[in-house]
Amino acid sequence: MDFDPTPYNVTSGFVSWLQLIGVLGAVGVLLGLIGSFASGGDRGADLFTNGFTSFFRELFTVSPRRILALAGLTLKEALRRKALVVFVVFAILLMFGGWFLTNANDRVELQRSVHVTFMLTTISWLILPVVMFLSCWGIPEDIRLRSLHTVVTKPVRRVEVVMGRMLGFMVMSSVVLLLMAVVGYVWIQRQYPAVETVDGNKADPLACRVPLYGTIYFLNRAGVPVSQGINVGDPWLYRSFVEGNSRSRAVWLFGGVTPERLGDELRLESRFEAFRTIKGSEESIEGGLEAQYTLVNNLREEAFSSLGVGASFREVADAVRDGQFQNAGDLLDAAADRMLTSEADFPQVDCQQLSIACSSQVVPVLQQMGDSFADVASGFQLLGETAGQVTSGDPTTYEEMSRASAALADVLRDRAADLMEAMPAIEVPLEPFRVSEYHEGDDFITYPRKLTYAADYEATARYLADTVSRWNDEGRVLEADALSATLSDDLAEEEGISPVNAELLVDVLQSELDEGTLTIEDGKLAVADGSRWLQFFDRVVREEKLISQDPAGWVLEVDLFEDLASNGILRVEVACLNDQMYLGMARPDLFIRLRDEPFAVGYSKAILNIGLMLGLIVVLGVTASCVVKGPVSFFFVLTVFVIGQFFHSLMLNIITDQAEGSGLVESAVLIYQHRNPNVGVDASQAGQSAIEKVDFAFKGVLQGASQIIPDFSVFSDASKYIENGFDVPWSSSVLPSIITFFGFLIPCVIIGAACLKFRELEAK
Amino acid sequence: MNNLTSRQRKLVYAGCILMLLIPIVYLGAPTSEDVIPGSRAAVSGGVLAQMRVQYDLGESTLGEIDPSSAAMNLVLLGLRGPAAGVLHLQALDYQEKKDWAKLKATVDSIIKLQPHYVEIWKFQGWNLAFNVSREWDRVADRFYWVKEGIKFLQLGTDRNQTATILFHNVGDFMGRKFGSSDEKKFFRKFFLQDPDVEKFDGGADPEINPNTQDNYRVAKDWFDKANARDRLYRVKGMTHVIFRQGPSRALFELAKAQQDDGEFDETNRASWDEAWTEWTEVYGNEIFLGLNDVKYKLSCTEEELQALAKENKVTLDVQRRVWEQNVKMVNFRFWQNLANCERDPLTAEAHRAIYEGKVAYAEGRISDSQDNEGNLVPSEAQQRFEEGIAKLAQVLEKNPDLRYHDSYIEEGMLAVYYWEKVHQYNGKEVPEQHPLKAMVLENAGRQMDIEREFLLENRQGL
Repeated sequence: MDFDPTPYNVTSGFVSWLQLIGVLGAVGVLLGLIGSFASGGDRGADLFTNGFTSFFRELFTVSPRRILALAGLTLKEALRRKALVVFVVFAILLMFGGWFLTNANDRVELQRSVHVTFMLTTISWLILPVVMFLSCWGIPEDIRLRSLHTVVTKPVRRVEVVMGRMLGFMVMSSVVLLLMAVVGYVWIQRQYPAVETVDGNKADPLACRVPLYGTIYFLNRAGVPVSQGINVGDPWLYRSFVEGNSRSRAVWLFGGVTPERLGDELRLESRFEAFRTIKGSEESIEGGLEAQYTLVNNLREEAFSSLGVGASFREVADAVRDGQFQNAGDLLDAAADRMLTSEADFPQVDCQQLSIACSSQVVPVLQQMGDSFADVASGFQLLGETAGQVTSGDPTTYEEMSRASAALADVLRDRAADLMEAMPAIEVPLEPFRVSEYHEGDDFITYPRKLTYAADYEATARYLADTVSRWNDEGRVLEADALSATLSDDLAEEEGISPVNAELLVDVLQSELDEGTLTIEDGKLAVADGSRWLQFFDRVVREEKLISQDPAGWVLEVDLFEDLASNGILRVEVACLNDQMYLGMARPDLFIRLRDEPFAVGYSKAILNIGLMLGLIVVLGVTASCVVKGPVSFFFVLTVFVIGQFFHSLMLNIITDQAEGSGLVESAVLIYQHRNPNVGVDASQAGQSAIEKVDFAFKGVLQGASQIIPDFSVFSDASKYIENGFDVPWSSSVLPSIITFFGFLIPCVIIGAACLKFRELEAK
Repeated sequence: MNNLTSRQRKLVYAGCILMLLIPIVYLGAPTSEDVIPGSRAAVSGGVLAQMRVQYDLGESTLGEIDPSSAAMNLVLLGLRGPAAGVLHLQALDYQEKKDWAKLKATVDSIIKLQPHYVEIWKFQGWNLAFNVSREWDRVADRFYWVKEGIKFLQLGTDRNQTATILFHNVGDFMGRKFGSSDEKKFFRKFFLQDPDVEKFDGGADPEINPNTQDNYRVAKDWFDKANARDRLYRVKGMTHVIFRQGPSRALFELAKAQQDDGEFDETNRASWDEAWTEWTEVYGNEIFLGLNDVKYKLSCTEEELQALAKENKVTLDVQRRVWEQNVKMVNFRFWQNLANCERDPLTAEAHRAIYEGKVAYAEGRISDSQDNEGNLVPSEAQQRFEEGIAKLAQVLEKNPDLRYHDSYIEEGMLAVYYWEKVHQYNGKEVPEQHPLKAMVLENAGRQMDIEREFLLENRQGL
C-alpha cells in the first residue's frame, strides 16, 4: 500500500481557480464580441451589450421553483428510460460476486480489501455509463423532438433549464447510488460480522482506523539528520530504511498531540518493512525483526539538529546537541581561529548550510524560548548571516564569520548553565516489539499516559536536581546541620524513589559534604562553588557516583502530554535493534491511532465521493450537450473522464518534467532516427532549438488541459482508504472532492447556460 | 413458390428445418456421459463431441470446469486477451508495490480468464511460492505463501489434467521448497504442524498434506502422479530419463533429511533401502527412448542389453553406447551405490557417532575427566568423533567408489576438525595419525570451507 495522504491546500487551490475562471471569462467575452460583430455588423456592440446584460440578469434571477419543476421532469424522463435497470445488474453481480471473490485469500485482512474494492468499484462503474448516457442525451433529444421549444416559450430562463437538468440527473444518480450503497453495506457487513474478542467484547473487523500522521526525517548511522534513509535496492522507492544496531533512526514529528484528541493513552500503529542481509537468529526468523520506539522531548535536537549537516561544524553541533554548551563554546572558539588560517577547512557549501540551519531552525527555536535568550539568538543570527556571505578566496568574509563565531563562543560559555536548564532532552525508550510485516493493524501498541522508564544520565541529573533543590528549599534535607537521618526513607516514601536508590543518593550527598563540594549555608545545603544543582548533579552522575544498585536503575515517571508533548508536538524515534538488518519506513507507516470510527462513517464518505464524481459527470455531460449533439457530447465526456481518471497524474508528471522521456516531437524524431533519449536528436543546433520550442508549446497546451480536465482520481482515492481499513480523511480526500465538484459546477453552469442561450434551437 | 399458400410455405420451411437438423445432430450432438478428464475414452454423442474427447479439446476433457471462469470469458466476449494482458500488468505492479492481497486476487482473475494457459500456472505458482514468500519476514508467513503457490499449482492440475509438467512441479515444490530452502528446518516442521493453530488445530494443512506425511513422501506421491500422466501425455521440453527420476529422488532426499534431523535408526535405513529399490527396480526398469529412438533401460543385464538391441534392430555396440551414455548422464550407478552404502548398518553407525559427537560438542561435553583410579577419560565428544572417524574410514574402504563423494569428504573432514578442536580445548597434542588422515591430506584445499562450515554449525546450530 502506497498512499501518502497530504492535506489539500484550499488557499492555493482557490487562487488557481480564480485565475482559470478569469482566463475562461476573458475568452468567453472575446468570443462573444467576435460573434456579435460577425452576425450583427455595426450593431455588434449593441448586440453584445444587450446579450451580456440579459444573460447576467438571468443568472441572478433564477427561480428555485422552476428549477425544481424542471428537475422533476428530468427525473421522470430518466425513470421512463429505465435508468434503474442498472440496479438489477448490480443485484445480479452481488449474487454471483462470491464466485469470483471467495477463497481468494484465507486471511481476513487480505479478503476485506478485495471485498470492499469489489463493492465500491462495482457501484461506481455501473452507474457511471448510465449517468453519462442520460446527461449527454437529455438536451439534444429535447431539441431534436422540439420538446424544448414548448419549455422556452414559457417564462423559463435557459440557465434554469441547464440547472434543472443537472439537478434532476444528480438526484437520479444519487438515488440509485444510495440504493446500491445501502445494499452494498449490508452485503459487506454480512461478509464480516462482528467477532468476539478474548475479553468478551465485540470487535468490528471492518472498523475504520483514524490516523494522525506526522512528518518524517531520518538520522543516518552517524546521527546526522537526512531527508532519506538507506536505499536497500528495492525498485519501489516508497520506503527508505534505517540500519539496525546503529544510531540510524527514523524520526516522526506529530502535531496536535493533546489529551482532548488522544484521551488518556497513546495508540501507535506501524507497518514497517523488514530487510535482512543475513538469516539472523532463530528467534528473529520466527518472531520477526525487533523495533523500538523512543518518545523524545528534545529542545536541543529541535534547535540544533541540522547545524552539523556540513562536516566543518559537526563537532560544535554534536556538543550543543549533547547539551555541552561550554565545550561547544571552546570548539567554536578554536574553529574561529582556524577560519583565519585554514579556509579550506570551511568550504563555502558548509558555510551555506550553516547559514540555512541558523536562519531556519536555530534562531526561530531560540526566539520561541523568550527574550532571556535573545543574546544567544542574535549570536546565532549573526553567525548565520556572516556564514551566508562567505565566498571562497575572499578572506574578509572569513574574517567576519570568525568574529561572529568568537562572539557566539563567548555567549555560549557565559550562558551554558542557563541553556542547559532551559533546553532539556527527555528520551523515553519504550518496550521493543517484533515487527509483523504486511499484517495490517497487527503492530498496534497502546501506551498509558503516565510512562515509567529507566532514566539516562541527563534525566537522572535533572530529576535529582529538581527533587533535592525542592526538598532543600522546604528545609527537609538537613536536620541540625547534618543530613536528615530519615532522608532516604522520606525520599523513598514521598517521591517514589526505590529504597536502594534513596540510600545511594543520601550516601553521595554525604560524601560530597565530606569532600567539601557541598556546604551548609544558612541551614540549607548548597553547592560549594556556587554552581547550580543541575550542574552539580550532572557532574556527579557523569562521574558515575550514582550508578544504581537497583536492577531497574533509576526509574522515573513522565506524563505524555505535560513532559513529552508539552507544546502539542510529539517526537517519536524508531530504531531497528537487530545487527545487519534494516527496517523500511515511509511517512504514513507510523501514525497515532485516534478513536476508531464505525465502518459506516468511512463507507459513507467514500460513497459521498462517488456521488460527487457522478455529479461532476452530470455537470460535464449537460454542459457539453448544450453545445453539441448527444453522441459527440457522450464521447467528449467519456474522453475527459478517461483522461482525468487514468492520465491526470501522467499529465502533471510531464508538465513538471518528472516523467521519463522527452517531448512529443523530440520523441517522434528519436523513434524515426532509432536513437535513445540519452543520446538525443541527431539535428543541427537550429533544428534542435526548433524541436524544443514546438515541444514547449505542446507542453503549454498540456498544462492548459491539465487545468481544465478534472482530476477524477481525487474521487476514487477515497476507496483506497477504506479498502485498507482506514477512515476517509476529510482534509486530503473529502474536501478536495467537494472543492473539485463545485469548482467545475459554477463555470459549467455559466458556460452551459450561455451556449444554450446564444445557440439556434432549430439547428438539430 | 409464389403459388404456394401460406400454410404450404410454412410446411416447406418446417421440412427444411428438419432436414438441416439431421447433420446438425449428427455432427454436434453433445455426449450424455460424464467425461473423465484426460481419459480419451470412447463416448456417445455427435462427431464433434467424440473428437473433442479423443483429442482433448473440450473444456471438460482438459480438466474440471470452473463456472466463474466460463462466466467471465462469456461476459468479456472477444476481449479476453486484452483483459488478461491488463491484469498481468496490474499483477506486476501490485507485486512491486507489495500489495499482496490484490496480487493474489489478480492472479486468481487471470487464471479464470486463461485457465488452460499452462505457462501462467507455472509462472505464478513459482512466483507465489518462491518470490512472494521471500518478501515476507516471518517464517510462518513465508510458509503460508509457499503453500499458496503450491495450492495454486494444485488447482492448475485440477483444471489441466493433460499438463503433466504441473504435476511434476507440485512434487518439485513440495520437496525442494519445503526441504532445501534456508528455512527448511521450520518448513518441514510446519508441514506436519501448521503454524496456523487456530485453523488447523496443530495439524497439517489438509489441502497440501491430507495424510500428515513428510514433505518428501507427499512429493513422491506427486511425482508418481506426474509419471503416470507422462505415460498418457508426454511432457515436452524435458528429457524423460531425468523427468521420471522424481519419485526415487524424493526418497533419497527423504532419507538424507532424516539424517539431517539426527535420525540414524532403522527407519532411516529402511528409507535408504526403499530409495535403492525405487531407483534400481522401478526407475531402473523403465523403458526410455534414447538417441534415434533406441529403447533402453538403466538397470540392464548383458542378456537384456542383447534382447533390446535385437528389438531395436541395432548392433550391440550401438545399444551399449546409448545405454552407457544415459547411465552416465543420470549418475545411475553413483546413486545406486550411495543408497546401497547408506542402508548398511555400519554407515548408519558412522553417521550417528559423528552426529552425537557434534551434539556433545554443542552441549559442552568436551572436557576430559578422570576415573576413580585417576586415569584420564577422554571427553564424550572425543570418544564419539573417534568412533565416527574410524567407522567412516571402514565405510569408505568398503565402498571405494564413494571416496570422492563431496558429502563423505565434508563429513569426514569436519569430524576430524571437531576432533582436533576437542584436543585443543583440553590442551592435548593432536595425534599425528588417524583413520581419515589420507583423505584430509588429499583434500587439503577444502580446509577453509570446512572451517567455515564448523563456524556456521556452531553459530546457527545443527
